[in-house]
Amino acid sequence: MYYPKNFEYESPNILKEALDLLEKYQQDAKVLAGGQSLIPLMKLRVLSPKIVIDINKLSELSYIKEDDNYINIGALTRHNEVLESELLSRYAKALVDAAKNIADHAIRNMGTIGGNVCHSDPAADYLPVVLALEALLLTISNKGKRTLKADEFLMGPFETSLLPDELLLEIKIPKVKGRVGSSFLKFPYHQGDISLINVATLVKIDENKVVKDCRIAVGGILPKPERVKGAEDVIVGKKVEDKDIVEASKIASETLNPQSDWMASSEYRRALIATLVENSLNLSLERAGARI
Amino acid sequence: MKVNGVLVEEEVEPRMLLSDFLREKVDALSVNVSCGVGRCGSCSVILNGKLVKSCLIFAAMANEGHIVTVEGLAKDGELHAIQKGFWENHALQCGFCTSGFLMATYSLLKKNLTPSEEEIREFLKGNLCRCTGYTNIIDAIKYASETLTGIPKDKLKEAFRW
Repeated sequence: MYYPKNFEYESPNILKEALDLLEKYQQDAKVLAGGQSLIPLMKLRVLSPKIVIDINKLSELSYIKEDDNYINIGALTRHNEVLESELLSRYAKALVDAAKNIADHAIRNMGTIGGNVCHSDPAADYLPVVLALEALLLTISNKGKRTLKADEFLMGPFETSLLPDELLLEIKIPKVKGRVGSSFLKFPYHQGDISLINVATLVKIDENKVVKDCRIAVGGILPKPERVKGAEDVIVGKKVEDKDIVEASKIASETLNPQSDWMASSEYRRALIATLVENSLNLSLERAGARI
Repeated sequence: MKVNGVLVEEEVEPRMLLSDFLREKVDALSVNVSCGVGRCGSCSVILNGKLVKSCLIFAAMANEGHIVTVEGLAKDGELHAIQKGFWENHALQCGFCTSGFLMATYSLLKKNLTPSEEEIREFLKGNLCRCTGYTNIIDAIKYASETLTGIPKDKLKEAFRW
């Protein structure tokens, strides 16, 4: 039976209290949100924090709201709340696609979007989505707030630019106005498991179905998920035909250099990149209304 | 916390898992721990109305919460329709995964009383049966769904009282 090393447990009732604890304990503390990654890692003793700060009582960090320019998602929002959100379905379909495919119903009742992004497993499903949607990450500490772009926040495998005394407060998804479609697809090791490759795309078209904006992000590769500019450029500025999509997916699979590991070879992952980019672009174009 | 409606008060180490708390301190021995890392679903219980895996939650996180286990399903000595469904359809062999399946089914049917087979399979993705009794398990859930659809509203409310 797995058991974590013992630790001191704190469960602050208000945000200020959590920030004070983080300021006091810095690297010795680990924030516990849904715990669906942290607790297994503690049980396997990969991680043995001295202090665990349980933020589950901070219900003010659980919300999905909109303002004029952003959909704002509280860091403690559970995966099942993301996938049931009509607001996100309208403005950030790719995020809903990703939430739908995380593990299973029980895990999704506990796991949080903030935890998933901060844990920053290179194969985590939200990561290519926040890159493709150009999300902003709002952090807070006793020193103040910071807003970081997704690509500034994600540093590498299990590494972010979050400082030891900081807490992720909110994920801000910019509203892209006009005819926009986004989607997320993954190929897991097996159903409900970690992604070998995952892909998020966003496409914006004008009234003549000419692509004005295209974003392609690929995850499941080391050291971290990446945008593929070369592939995006193939799609932008034209009325896209099937051959362009094939060309873009080919560029994506050739540009990136996925790793080989016990789950899949580099070649296999490359083939997955090509297929998933092609399928995701088609789905995003369909959602933007380019196929009507 | 409350377990199946009964108040439980204990002081435990922070590292005590909810699954062990339920077994050792509450005697809720329906809670089985199999994989210990959240893949198999044997330890599934309902926490504050939501299906969760109790091996991936510290007992302290459920402080002041309400937990439902299989012990809370039957009422006045009569099996819950879900339990009857598993009984009638021989939906278990060794039975180790069964508690988890019962709680997952409770959570599914409470939300959606008449799920399609596809919805059942999708919802139960997080519960593994190594005797591979899935076909009978799905039959059991359909049986429970049909039984519960036919009963009066107040009885239905009673069946999903947690």
